[in-house]
Amino acid sequence: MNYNTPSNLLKSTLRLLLIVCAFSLTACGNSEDTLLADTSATESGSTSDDGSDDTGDEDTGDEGDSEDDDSSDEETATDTSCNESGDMAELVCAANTFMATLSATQQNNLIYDFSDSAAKTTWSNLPSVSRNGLEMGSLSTTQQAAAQALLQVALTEQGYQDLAGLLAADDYLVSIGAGSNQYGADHYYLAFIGEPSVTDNWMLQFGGHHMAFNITYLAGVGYPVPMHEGAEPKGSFEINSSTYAPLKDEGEALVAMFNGLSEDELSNAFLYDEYYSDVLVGPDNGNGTYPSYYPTGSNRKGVLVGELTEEQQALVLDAIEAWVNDYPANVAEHLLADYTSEEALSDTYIAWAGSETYGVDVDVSGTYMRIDGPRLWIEVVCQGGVIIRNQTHYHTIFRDKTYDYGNSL
Amino acid sequence: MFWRWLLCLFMLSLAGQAIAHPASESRMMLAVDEHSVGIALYLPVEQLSVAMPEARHWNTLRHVATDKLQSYLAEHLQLRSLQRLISVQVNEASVQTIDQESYVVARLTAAADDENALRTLRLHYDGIQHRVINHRTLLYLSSDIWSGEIGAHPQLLDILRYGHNELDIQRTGDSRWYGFTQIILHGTRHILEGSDHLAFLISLLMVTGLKRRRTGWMIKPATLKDSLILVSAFALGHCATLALNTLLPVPSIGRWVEAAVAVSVLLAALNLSYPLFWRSTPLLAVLFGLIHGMAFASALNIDGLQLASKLVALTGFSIGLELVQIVLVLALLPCINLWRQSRAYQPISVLVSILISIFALIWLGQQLAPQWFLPELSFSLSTLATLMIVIAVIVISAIKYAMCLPSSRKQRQVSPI
Repeated sequence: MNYNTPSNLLKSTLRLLLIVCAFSLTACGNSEDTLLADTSATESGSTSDDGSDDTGDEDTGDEGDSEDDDSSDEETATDTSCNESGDMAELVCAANTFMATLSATQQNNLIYDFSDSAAKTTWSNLPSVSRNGLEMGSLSTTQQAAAQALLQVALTEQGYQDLAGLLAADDYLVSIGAGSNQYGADHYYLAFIGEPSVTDNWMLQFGGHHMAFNITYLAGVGYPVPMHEGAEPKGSFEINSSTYAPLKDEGEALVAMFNGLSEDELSNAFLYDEYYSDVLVGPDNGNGTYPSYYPTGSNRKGVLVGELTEEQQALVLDAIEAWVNDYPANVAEHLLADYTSEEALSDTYIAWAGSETYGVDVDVSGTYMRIDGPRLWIEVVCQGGVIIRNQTHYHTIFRDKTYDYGNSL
Repeated sequence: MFWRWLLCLFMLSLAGQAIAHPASESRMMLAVDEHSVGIALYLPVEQLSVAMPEARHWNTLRHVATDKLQSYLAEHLQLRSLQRLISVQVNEASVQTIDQESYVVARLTAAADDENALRTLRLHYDGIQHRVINHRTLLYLSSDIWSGEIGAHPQLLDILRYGHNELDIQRTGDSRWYGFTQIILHGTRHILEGSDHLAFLISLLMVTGLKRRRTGWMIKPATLKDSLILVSAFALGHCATLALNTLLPVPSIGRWVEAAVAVSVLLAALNLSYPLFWRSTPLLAVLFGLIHGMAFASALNIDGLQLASKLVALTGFSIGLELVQIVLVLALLPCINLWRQSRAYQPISVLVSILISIFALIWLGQQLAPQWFLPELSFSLSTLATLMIVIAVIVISAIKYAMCLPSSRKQRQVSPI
């Protein structure tokens, strides 16, 4: 059966024992055999009720949520248009508009404490693992629309296309037979770590299978890292008469970067004896710490971007922008400046692994591409398909070695 | 056998991940013995094949070339103690399919000359990871005879990965006696926290020594002899399966164990209000004991230890179990006897019987149809709390009965039971 933590066990047992003792001691006044036995009969009856009441309370808490959902629908006559000027003001307005559609319980479940490092690092590439905040499938249409409006403000058109495409990809997997209890756009979660604010620090988290947006805002300046995206199918697909290809741009931009290299450079960028079946610096899974295992010193391998021609460098910049420009100016501008400064590029390596025979081919399982700067860390790996077995699929990660989570853990 | 079952459990708990996670992790389980360390290694064949191409053939042939594996591990697995290398020997290796994925499962032994050599170990391991850069190995301590660590849930020591291939393992327990007392405590904790065994014992004790009278029980005080026979019969049964299941590769009925335990509790509880077993009760207690023993065995993980240590662990664990049962019998039996003089004994035993039957039905449901009866912590907490209360009520009412006896003696003579 189930065994419980000794402290919990002790607490509840002691509490209920106290009740029993209190009852039986007060009853001793009428010392009659039958009366005595009767009281103990009612005691065991009433105490068992106590036990079930405990569980009942917790259950009704959850049910309360769903009832609140419905009732709050009627209340949501809130103004959904945010006309504030400035990226941050508009974002905070959209966040507040979303919160206004929620019940008190939902708001409570949405917001975490900004000092909660475990919550900040809780994200994964996997479906059906525990995540922070509110599940999209549990929200009403109005609430979902407000959440969508918020994400549209948090991302650029390019970024939101990726997000919508990844949600559609999960629905697509369901449409071809993946379990809808794990996969599908309903199983994505939105959370705020800290209260949305133009001037204070907070973090916007949105994620699910193959997706983790973690955007930390420090006094209005955004750090959208770590960011994980994965795509199965990785090419274009059609669902509900719309066509999507969420990570096609990112993949192609990286491939173009390597295609721009000479034969010798490509060979120098190849990571001999290294094979990647997944990204190296993957999900933090709520461990509350920064990853400590980036390659350092002579283990940083590949071709230095600073030594490439201007045209080749332009391709690297395109690839970096494919990630960074998913975010509006208050996030992207300062990052691009830092990642692409002459100094940074002179310490930025591009490298790939997989099969030298096939070259940089995203259709080959095990093909791996990486940009490794003094701060910037981008990895793309092509894995065998999980649901669509005969195709590879992408796992990608975008991190900042210094400013993951806005350096706020 | 047991390892396989254990890993299945892990995999089940990670079921969602296993589906969506082609890059599987390795697992290494350490069993720290008196003079050696048993190591069980689970290497996902697909990843191993990248690091060691011939592993792919092993998968096709379903056979592992032990000498090749031995020389591969000699390069990638080193145990040191006080700067001295401890030799690691591959005892057996096979290809097993666990949760639809092929693993090379190897059992190794690292033997040291003296026990002090194992006090501080430095483990270096980069199997698969030296080539598959993102590969990770979850390192568990499955048992440690020195610290009395023999629980079914191995303790995750660390995750070995790129840039982190070394680990110092300090032994926590210092003396054999300390380890032994911890094992005894594990036994007492197991029975105290498992409401099903408690429920079964209470049901058993409440009818001990009673005779059937038509559709009910003829209420009379039980003798110590009755109870001792009953409880020893139960103990005999569960010790037998506990030992068999942990020492020999005797097939256990696996996931049906918990269901069978629930059925036994249900029968014992129903027996309380309607006599089902009134003849050869000790024999039935042995039978039920056999079932509960299998459940006890699943709370124990001593695989990978030497036989002597296994026996020590089994003895300690059983002492822990029996201690609780003896205390329960000694504490409850006089109370039950006193209480049996009261007129309310029958209605209350029916109430207890109904209560425990409901719990047993829910436990059964949780085992047979987990999708409808999700095991909830709050539920198991309340069942346990309720049972504690039943015990408390029995004891308190008996004390009160004894205290209030003189004033009501007269009345009792008027209406004898």
